[in-house]
Amino acid sequence: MIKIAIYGKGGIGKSTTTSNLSAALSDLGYKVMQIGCDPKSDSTKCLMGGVKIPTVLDKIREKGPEGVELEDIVFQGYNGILCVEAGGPTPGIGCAGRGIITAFEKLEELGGYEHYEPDIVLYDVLGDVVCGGFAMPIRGGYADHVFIVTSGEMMALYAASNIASAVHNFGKRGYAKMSGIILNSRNVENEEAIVRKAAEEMEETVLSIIPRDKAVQTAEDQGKTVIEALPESTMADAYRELAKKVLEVSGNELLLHHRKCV
Amino acid sequence: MEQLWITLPALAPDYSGVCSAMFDLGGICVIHDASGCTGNYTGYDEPRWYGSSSKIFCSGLREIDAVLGRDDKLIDNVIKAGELIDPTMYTVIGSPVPMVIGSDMKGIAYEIEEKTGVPSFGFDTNGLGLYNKGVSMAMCELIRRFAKKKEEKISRGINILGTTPLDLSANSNADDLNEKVESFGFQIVGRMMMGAKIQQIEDLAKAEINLVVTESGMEAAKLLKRKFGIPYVVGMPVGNEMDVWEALEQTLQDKADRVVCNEGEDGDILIVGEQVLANSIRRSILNKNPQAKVCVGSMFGLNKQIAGKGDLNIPGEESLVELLYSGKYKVLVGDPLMEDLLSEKCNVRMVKLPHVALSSKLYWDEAVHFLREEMDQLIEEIIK
Repeated sequence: MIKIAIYGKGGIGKSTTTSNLSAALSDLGYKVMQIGCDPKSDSTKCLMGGVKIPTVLDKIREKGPEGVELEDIVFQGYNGILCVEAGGPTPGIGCAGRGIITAFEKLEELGGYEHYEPDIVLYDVLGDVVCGGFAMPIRGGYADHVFIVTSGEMMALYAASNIASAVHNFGKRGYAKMSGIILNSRNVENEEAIVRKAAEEMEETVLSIIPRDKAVQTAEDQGKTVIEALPESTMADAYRELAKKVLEVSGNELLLHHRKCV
Repeated sequence: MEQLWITLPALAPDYSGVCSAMFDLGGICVIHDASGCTGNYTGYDEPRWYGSSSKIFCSGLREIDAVLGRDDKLIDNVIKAGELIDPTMYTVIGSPVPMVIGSDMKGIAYEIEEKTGVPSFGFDTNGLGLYNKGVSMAMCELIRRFAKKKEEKISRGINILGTTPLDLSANSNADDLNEKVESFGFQIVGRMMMGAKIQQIEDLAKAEINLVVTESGMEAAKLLKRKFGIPYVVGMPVGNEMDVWEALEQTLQDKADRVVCNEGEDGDILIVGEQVLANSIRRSILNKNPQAKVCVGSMFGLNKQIAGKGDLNIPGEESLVELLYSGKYKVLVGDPLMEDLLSEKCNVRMVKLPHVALSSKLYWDEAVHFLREEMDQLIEEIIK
């Protein structure tokens, strides 16, 4: 099982990128689980036909911590992708970071990974590594690889730098490693050069460049990923290319395992 | 209102369980808290603290450190303390505030070990879990870390699993148990955890059998079974009863795991306390009066694997009160503090069996000696 965390500034297109990545990986034959780590709980919406699924914290609120079962929180979406949303506290009160921890602990306590045995787990994480809770996906036992989604906009690059610094800091604990930056283009002038320079300063590489394309909006309007709604589009090809690159940098052990099984 | 406790005090928490388990190993234990949790453990949950040289510290967590995420400060202080003390290991232990801010106790321990080269453990305890969970977590981590595969087996070698003063109190129960085990021709390999040493943990696999004397030892027994195939007997020897000793002999022969005694019938006598001890007391009652109806109840999370059919999980004081006033029970065996829950109205007779995990220091000097005549007397008092 490879575990991958996708971070980036809020609104930069993490959920869109992650959902399309999940869809492309599942089309390649891998069993994928996508876990949304954001109180907005809309990470997996486009894998579920535009429908928001109940979150882990919703179910804990409804049934009590001991009453929740795996079937309450894991849902099958496009091509059998396993979808989970951590959820969040009552808006304005509670603690979102602690909520992520509670959701992760519940999924683990219920044996989610052992039961479904996904080949690839993708954690789609809110904005920045603002506190201990949002660092949970990169702690021991969770993600092995971290990718950051950014555009050439300054705020997105500041957030990317902050995230990279948190991941490097956790390197002292033997945790996840930075595996690359995904440029989700916003058509900023000279965008590729800006992001490549920033990546260099972070001592990282730009893994993939996702062009800006109205296909994304068209697919989202249908409650789908581009891979599902417009599989012949050039944008779908871009996500498939991203999937291949993600596998190249993080999936060698998985590919070897698959070869052995064959 | 399950968590409304009016008469009974808060039960010993998970961090006290971890500290109690680690107490004899010569390491530094640091509870990551402002000081209340450490004070609770050293002042109320640990009889050995008074006059001991064990190295239990409070991290002195302050609001600004929590807000700023100053793991570095904790790590530096732990390492500085270690330079003066030269510990065998470091243990960093969580409390409510680290839980709320999501402190990564295992990650902190990893960094301490990287910097010092000394084995280090981190526990995500939070003060909401109970002591038995903490003891269990600590034992399992120590086994995973230190226990080694051994070709050589010691004939009648035995590990005693689950001893802490939270269950065995401040009297000589642990020593009595060791002596009695040896008097039946066993050689004790590991004393987990009262009297534990790292070398003993490394050698645990040399034992032929494990004796689990408290519920806290159950997960460790199962882990040792999975890792090294050591069978186990669950039972606390009480008074002159032979059941545990007979079960040990049978298990040595057929290698089957055994629990003494998890058969019972709800009604008449309710024993509320440590589950394994309560099971053994029930066995003793049934030996003397096979018709007796004896039920075991646990306020520390009923472990179903060692529970009888009608045994009860008692999640809070209110549930216990409901049971006592249900008219079903004539005798309550439990900590003396439970007496305050009784009145003439419920017509239940109280037999006192102090439990440190509930009443802490209040009765630990009056604790029953499990293996001595006074336990037989206590059982006579129950069935009279």
